[in-house]
Amino acid sequence: MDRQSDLTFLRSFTGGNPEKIKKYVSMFLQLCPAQLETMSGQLNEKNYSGLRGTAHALKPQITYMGIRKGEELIKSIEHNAGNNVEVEKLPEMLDQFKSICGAAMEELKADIA
Amino acid sequence: MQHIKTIFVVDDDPTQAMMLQDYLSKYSTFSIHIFNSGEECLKNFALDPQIVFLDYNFDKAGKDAMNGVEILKEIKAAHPKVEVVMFSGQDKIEVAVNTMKYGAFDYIVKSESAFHRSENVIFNLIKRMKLQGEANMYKKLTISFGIALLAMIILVIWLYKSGLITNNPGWM
Repeated sequence: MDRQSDLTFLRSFTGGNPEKIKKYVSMFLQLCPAQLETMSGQLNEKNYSGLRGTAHALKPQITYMGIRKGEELIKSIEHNAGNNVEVEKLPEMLDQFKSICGAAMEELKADIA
Repeated sequence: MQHIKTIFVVDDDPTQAMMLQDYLSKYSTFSIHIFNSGEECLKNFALDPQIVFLDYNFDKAGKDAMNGVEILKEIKAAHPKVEVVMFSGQDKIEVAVNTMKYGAFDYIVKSESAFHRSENVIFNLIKRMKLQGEANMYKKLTISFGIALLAMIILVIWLYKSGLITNNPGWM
């Protein structure tokens, strides 16, 4: 299976400093699961405005961790939830996003182990 | 770094704030402070920041938290000389224009290039402050020169009227 994450940006950003890479990846690993949970809760409650906000807040971290497929999806989730369009597609999109993030988090855990 | 000593980074995303702090900390002359809400930032203005990097959305800071534009307005009202640079995940032109309308110096979209752009903004501000400093210096010099010239004219008129100088000196 293809990798879901790519640390090229973080390596360049930190000048290849493994401690700094570990610090940022650890922060992401700590914060991302809670944000995914929040998004699920907001979707169940049909709180689309909240879902847009959480997706928006998580988006930069997805970019920095090089989760390209997740980046496209989270932009679509933010757009659909924020504009109330095709909200029926949101559960499937969020499931897919969580699956990509889950795989990416496993890779990142291994990267900093 | 001329005139810029203290920088505030105001963001409810701790990773984003820390990454910007780390990126800018290569310039050891800056003292960089992180705050996770606008309220906290405003409470600490006694630290006298020259630049505030301010997030546009504070969704994670709670429902009652001030949003970026509200904080921007308060900062510019109370401290008009402080430059505010807005940060947002939205690359919508109307959002950028809105922040500029309320006095933001620049608007940066949170992306991989955001850190480099932040650095450029600081350099641009330093250049602008330097130019303003030079313009003020030339203004003062021009005023001083004008006063000196006026004083000399008054002195010559006074000497002439007192008969101490004449347009028909004896040696001619």
